[in-house]
Amino acid sequence: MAGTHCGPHAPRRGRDAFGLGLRPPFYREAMRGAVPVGWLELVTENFMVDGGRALHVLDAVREHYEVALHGVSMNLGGTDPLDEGYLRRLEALVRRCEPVRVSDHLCWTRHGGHHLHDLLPLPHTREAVIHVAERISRVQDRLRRRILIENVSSYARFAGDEMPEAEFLREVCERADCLILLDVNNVVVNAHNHAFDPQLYLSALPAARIAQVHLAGHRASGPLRIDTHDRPVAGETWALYAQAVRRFGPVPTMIERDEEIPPLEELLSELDAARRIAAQARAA
Amino acid sequence: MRPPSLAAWQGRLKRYLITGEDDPELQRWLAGSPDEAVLRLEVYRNAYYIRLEEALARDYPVLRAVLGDAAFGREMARYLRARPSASPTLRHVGQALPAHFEAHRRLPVADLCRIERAVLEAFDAADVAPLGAEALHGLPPEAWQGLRFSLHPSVSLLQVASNALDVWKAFRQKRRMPELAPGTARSLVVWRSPRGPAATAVSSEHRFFLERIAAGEPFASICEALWLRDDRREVPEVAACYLAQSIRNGWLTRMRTGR
Ligand SMILES: [Fe+2]
Repeated sequence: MAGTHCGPHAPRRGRDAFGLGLRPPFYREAMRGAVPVGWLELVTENFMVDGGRALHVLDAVREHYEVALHGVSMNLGGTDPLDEGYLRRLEALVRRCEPVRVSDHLCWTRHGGHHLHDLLPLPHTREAVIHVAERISRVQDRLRRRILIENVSSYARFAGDEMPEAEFLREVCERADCLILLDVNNVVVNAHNHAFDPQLYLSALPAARIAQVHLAGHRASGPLRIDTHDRPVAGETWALYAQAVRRFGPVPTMIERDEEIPPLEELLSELDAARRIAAQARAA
Repeated sequence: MRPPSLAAWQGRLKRYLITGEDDPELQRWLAGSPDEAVLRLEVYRNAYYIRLEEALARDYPVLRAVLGDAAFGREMARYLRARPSASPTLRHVGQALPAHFEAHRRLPVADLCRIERAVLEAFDAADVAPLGAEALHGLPPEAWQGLRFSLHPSVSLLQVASNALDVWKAFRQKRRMPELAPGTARSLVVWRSPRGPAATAVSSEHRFFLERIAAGEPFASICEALWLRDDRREVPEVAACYLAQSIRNGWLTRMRTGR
């Protein structure tokens, strides 16, 4: 399937490579173009509507910003057939807003017609690699562009896993010829939850496929780390981000905040920290 | 230990999340001690309930206020077990809540849910320009016969047998809510007005009129049907009045003339 996709799928690396996840408290500012960032990431499903406020927001935001679409329920790892209706709506949305990137997760979200609204883990097996890669290829053919697949936070691992997570992610993406949305916070969370070395994880990834980075905060809960997106990015995550920049170069980077959303200035200053760390890492 | 097949793992984890019942087979598949596996699975189970209950609380604020937090939580847990989400969109999680309460014969609660559901749907309905008052100006008398309209996509027609509308309005206006109780049958229209979601009661005749509009019937045959319902009424005047009120409220769109 390599080389068969056209469209604006290559990450644009001009101007400001730093962005934020668009959330309702900032809709107004974003619609006026008053959020000083290079691009905004939108949660795909929130804009899969026929009309009303969401599309009004989308069109206004699009006047000022490039946008990336980030889905949470394509169910790429699921065994239910791909959802035709979902793909049709996604296609229409892509046509409407011409996003610079379209992404979803390396996980499953639905089974037997029931949606679980969570990013659920896959066993790291050959069976899963082949299954997920084939589905990603079908979506890419359908959208006629490459999509990005994000590594998810997880709390369970299988006794019989056939490969480590980074290898699983790499195998899927190479087989499907898709790009990677690297969530650095999720690597930190999983490294802790499943006792692996996050640096080895990074070094196992195919650098040329890393097309976007997520940063976010998490919490400790008993022996586990939980991916909560409700606080600032942790020190460990910043440190791993610096290494990611050294390894993968200047990739479009953004902060995700979904709970306890602070005033915009606070998020912007956190994003400035990302700019500083990236600049230092590249200079080093 | 061989890892589970994708289908087996997904089927069992789904059942565990939805029913909340422990599953020793799931625990065996995971790495680590059995106690650790239980703990790790619980992270998913708790997150599932919290996320979906939060979504329901966001979409049904009046229901939550009426039931109180504790009863709301219990009812939503029951609902989520009985009717797991059938849509990729979190905003649709509560889609079947009216039917759920109806099935449990909690009719006033079901009425309130239907109003809140219609409000949500109005919010996301397609943007179609409503018909303006000028649409009917200067229309030749012979054109009236074949006039057809469509309902605006944000409009829902509901029938309730309770004071659910009064409860909803009191909540929206931050007034003290009356107790939700059964009452006489009322026809309601819920729609998206320029100032936000709106709901109002209409006469059963006006509702009948709107249903015929929605069915795409020409104005003349709607007048005839109104006359058949009640041959003592001044039907043309009444129908013109319904039409004018509907246009004023932005309930109609797409006027077509001719047969
Ligand atoms: Fe992420």
